[in-house]
Amino acid sequence: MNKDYLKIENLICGYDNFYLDSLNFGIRKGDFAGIIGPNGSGKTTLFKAITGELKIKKGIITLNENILTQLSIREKARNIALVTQQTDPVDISVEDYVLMGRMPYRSDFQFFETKEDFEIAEKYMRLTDVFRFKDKLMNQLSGGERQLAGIARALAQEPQLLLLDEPTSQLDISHQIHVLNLVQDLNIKMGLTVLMIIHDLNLASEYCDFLLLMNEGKLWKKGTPVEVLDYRTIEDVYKTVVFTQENPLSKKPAIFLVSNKIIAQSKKHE
Amino acid sequence: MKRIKNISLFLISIILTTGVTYADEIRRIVSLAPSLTINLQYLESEDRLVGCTSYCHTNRKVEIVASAVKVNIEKVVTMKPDLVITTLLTDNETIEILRKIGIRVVVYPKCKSFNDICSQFLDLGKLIGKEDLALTIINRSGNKVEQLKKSITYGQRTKVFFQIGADPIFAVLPDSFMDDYINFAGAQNIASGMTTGFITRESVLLRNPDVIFIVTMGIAEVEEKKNWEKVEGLNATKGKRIFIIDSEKACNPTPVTFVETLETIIKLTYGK
Amino acid sequence: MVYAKNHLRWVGVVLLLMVLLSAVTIWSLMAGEMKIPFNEMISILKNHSGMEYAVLTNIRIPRLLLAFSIGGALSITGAILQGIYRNPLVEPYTLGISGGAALGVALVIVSGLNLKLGEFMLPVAGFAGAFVTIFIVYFLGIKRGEININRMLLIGVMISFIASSGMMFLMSITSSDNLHSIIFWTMGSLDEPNNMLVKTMVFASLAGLFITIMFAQPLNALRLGEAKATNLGINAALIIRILFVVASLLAGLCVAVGGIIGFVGLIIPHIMRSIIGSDYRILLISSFLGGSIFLIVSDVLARTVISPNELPIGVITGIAGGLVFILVLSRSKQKSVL
Repeated sequence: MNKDYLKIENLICGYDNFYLDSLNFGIRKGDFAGIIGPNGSGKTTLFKAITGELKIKKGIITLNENILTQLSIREKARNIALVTQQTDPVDISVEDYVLMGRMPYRSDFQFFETKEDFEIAEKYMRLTDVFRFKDKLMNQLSGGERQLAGIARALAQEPQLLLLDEPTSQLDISHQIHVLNLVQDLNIKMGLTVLMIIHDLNLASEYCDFLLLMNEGKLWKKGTPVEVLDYRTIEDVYKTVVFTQENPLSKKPAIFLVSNKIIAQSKKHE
Repeated sequence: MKRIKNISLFLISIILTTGVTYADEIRRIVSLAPSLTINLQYLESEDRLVGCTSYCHTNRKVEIVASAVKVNIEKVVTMKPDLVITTLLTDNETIEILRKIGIRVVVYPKCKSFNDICSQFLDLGKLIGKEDLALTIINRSGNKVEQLKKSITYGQRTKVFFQIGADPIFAVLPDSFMDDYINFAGAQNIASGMTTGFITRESVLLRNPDVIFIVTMGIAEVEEKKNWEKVEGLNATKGKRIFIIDSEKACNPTPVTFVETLETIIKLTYGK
Repeated sequence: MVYAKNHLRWVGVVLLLMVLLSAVTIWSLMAGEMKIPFNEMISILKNHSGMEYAVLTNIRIPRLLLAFSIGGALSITGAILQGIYRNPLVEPYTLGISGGAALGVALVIVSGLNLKLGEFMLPVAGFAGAFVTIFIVYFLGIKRGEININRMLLIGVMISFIASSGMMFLMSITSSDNLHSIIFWTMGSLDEPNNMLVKTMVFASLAGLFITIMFAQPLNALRLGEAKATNLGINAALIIRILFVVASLLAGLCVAVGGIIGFVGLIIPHIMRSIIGSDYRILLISSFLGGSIFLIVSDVLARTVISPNELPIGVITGIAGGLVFILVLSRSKQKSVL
């Protein structure tokens, strides 16, 4: 019952000067997992290994017990959708852009979209609040609006596993909460498995059931937010002084930053 | 010797063309090469010229049907020519299309000797019904050439450099009719061993010609003459035998201009 | 099939282009030294009457067919390459294809092979030269088994330079007759006496259009880049290879048959994009038709503008194309061109 839906075994993969070193972890179906870690710790590299953009040197990645490298490109696209950090400022209308998410369900040579395609696209455009721009071109939107469109496109793929690479980095607070609520909704109601790279530790703590802390290409710690977001661990990895406390409403750890001014002040008091 | 050759050529062409007379039907001619236009003028047939290139020299106004690079095929067709004459300057595609339409195209290959000039001239004359005139001109030219050749006393062979290009320098090659200028003048072409005409200034100096002829090329020839005159060790400079020749006369393969040029060359080479 | 307001607009554009194409076709058949009025054209063709018939069938119709097919083929080649490289400056010539073809032709002319084996050696040499260039660009552009697009572009530009140096070398050592032939070929000409070649060109350009249109949706996905297209289920690596080969073969054939006719592959897709957008389902067919119209018009202008002299067609496409391009760019409201 608790079989891993996405399983990473002994993964070694990367570039000449940087690579992931024997990663091992598993995510169950319906998990909302977060990947956190400092810049350059290998988070995006891990995503590239999963999507196949980077060739795996050693190790196996399985999805629902299917070895990923053995799936066809189309099958992979129906199961895994990726939202990258880079938005696409192209001269394509938002509607056409979101409709591209339906490509895995059409043959290469199918010329026109189906009625169903249009309906699905509309549904997700409304959910992400980009329907009002549907005729505008992507390069006419702001970065945040493009990010929402990107999420709509990924959702239109109706994947089993959703990979999000910093989906909220360019959004204001209300849109950040809006998007994360939406994803959480889909996770709870539709059983969408989500793996999300996120910088904001508090958002990670609030929304994710399960966290993977990466550092220098290795998996530093994995577990629930309470287990992972311990202030000593954070200091070790991020080399920053922080202060943690339990969020009284959600019972999840909340992280408070400590500025130099405060450190100086507290030293005076000692 | 040359006379015998000419007569036999004439006899052969008569034999070959017996029974086949196109001559009377040629009333409208298009010439796609300046040298052929000149030939027509010598054959007193410029009145039959209905089309020529933009760089042909004609005495009356003739429709232009071609530039240096391209022939306006449609224009040629509208002129309704009975005959189109050209050299290898015209590209193959144009010739093919004209023939496809049913127009008679005669292509004259490159003249490699005075003989070639004469036989092509005769061929053209025969084509347009002016054999007699052509023969007369050829014979007169041939005679004059023999005369000129005899007027030279063969002694030491003068070395001649005949320059027909500047930047890069281009020499007259043995396989060109212009080489006959040098041969008939009893001299030696310094480019006699070469297969391509591009020659470096150094090579010219190495071969140390006694006489240098430079054809007119716009204005470049003046500069070139000055350049050679600067080289003190050059035989041609020492003997003050660096001359400029009119390219209209020297470079066009027609019998009359050939003779005129030969005369000039001999005069300048031997100072008579 | 679903009706979206886009698709109606597309149909409208295609219809408009076809009307324009018909108009310039008729114009090109009528215009020239010999003015052939429209009402007489059909009877001339039926009755095979006189000089007009010869002019139509041997000069105007072959030129029209070549302008149609080369204009169309060069345009879609440009559209494909701009899609693969996601770079608006890419067209067959910037990939060195024309350089390689011209070098091949120069080699044949200088070595005299066309005189020994026949004039058909020239288009064969042009095509072979283009093909070898494609080969080199493709294989040198692959690093560790993966297509590296920027590398291919750089190599193509380099080949262009090397080829033109090679040509200058050949031109400097050869006779003036050969020089003339090389220059004439390079200037581009739509005169072609060989009917087989004309038919081949027409067939190849239409086949190329047909094949490419089948890949319209994958090309659309490629606008987001190879990685994202793959994430959308498109076998981007394979499709890029296929399209590259198709584009190169088409371009090679165009150069082989028509000489170097520049600018068409660069500007027509641009102009079409600024009118109709970058969806390849409409861009391909519009570029083809636009290119055909452009080259047919250029051909008529080349024949008539400085009559009786005839301009090489590359001159018209270069100047006119450049002017139109500047005009379109300065009016364009969109920021990104792709």
